[in-house]
Amino acid sequence: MNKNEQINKNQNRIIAFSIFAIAMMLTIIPFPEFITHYMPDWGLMALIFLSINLPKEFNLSTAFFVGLITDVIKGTILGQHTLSSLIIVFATTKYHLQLRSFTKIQLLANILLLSILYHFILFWVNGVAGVSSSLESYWAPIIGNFIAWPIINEILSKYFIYNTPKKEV
Amino acid sequence: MVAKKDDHSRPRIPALTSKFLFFVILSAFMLINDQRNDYLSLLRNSIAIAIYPLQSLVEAPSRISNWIEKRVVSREMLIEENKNLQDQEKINLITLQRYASLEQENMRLRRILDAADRLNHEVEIARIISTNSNPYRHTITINKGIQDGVFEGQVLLDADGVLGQILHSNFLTSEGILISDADHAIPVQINRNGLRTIAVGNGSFSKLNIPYIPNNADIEIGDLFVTSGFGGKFPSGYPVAEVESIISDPAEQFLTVSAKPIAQLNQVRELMLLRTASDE
Repeated sequence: MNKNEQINKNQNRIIAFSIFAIAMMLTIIPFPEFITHYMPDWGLMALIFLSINLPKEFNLSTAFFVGLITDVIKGTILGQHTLSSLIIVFATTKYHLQLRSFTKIQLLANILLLSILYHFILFWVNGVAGVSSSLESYWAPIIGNFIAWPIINEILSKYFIYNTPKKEV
Repeated sequence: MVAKKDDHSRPRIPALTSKFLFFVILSAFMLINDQRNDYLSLLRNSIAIAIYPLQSLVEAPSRISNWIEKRVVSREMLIEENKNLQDQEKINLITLQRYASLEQENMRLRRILDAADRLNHEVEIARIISTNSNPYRHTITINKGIQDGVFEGQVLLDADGVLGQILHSNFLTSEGILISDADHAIPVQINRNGLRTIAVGNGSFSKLNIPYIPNNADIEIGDLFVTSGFGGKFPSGYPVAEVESIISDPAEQFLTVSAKPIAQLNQVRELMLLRTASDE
């Protein structure tokens, strides 16, 4: 039993690590100019998914590191993406049971709200630090997140199957 | 491979709120310190080194295709020779840029005595490995870092003109800011008559704003802006932009001038780092 748990934990770590690596690579890849505005926040999507589904293993410390790496990749002020990821992941971890019980549409509505909050914090930090940004860079990724989440959720859920026996719940 | 979801028997995550407070304080600390001082450069450097493999992985497909293309077209010797010649050509072009502006200087009989020894600027070729995905931050990452002698404020050029400068230099890579970034300004002068001003980026690759030209100034469409050498960052005489439009509104104190950058800001893959710092 304990051994099985250990194996599962390691497996989870490997899968999660590769998910984050892919998310970071997607963040680095340059896309054509007309679409760059609308690129979803891959790191945030991965963080939300993992913190809802594996909150004990991936919560705030993961959010901290992923946010920090995003800061370095995007060349923003260190701590900007970190802070906003932390706040989002705090919410998703705290309410992961509620979020799991939501229907897909409800979950999507929540993701929309969370990404608005995420970008509001980024926007706000930019404003305080005097970094100029456009209005489009604020709302366009939110649309990207809204479109990308169902796909990301579908793909990750498929390869990230939950096989907790129902009677043990 | 299949991962297993947490069981629901113990849904509470231990010490979530205190962890949250701890990390929020930590990131607030970083936010406050990052722009003010240099304490966090080590952190930035180490993360940059850690993600270097990912960056090279992302860049690998285009590099492999380039490589195959070269192999198919010609033999190894030819490739090597061709590459050296291309590099040499770029260096020559840079020197030529300087000659054009010096010639102008001579024509106006304003040659400065020490102009001759400002000709020999050494350059080093670097490759862009990634660009910023945020359209309002025109920053790029290049494949040379502190290890190769890249320093903060170093000038970036392409074959045609000034591209920008180095923002941070990490150990293996460096981050550069382009002249079109909305937070970037570069001191320039009109090559024809020496009128000094500042060219400010506005987030568009094809346009720079020249905000402080008085209404009665001598400026025409097609005038070339070259770096003026003031401000201590950019050496003088490198082409920056060409005047594209001039709008004069008598109610305003200044003309609305926009200029087109000479360098191919969003098309270059290889760029040049000027070895020497400013010459003033």
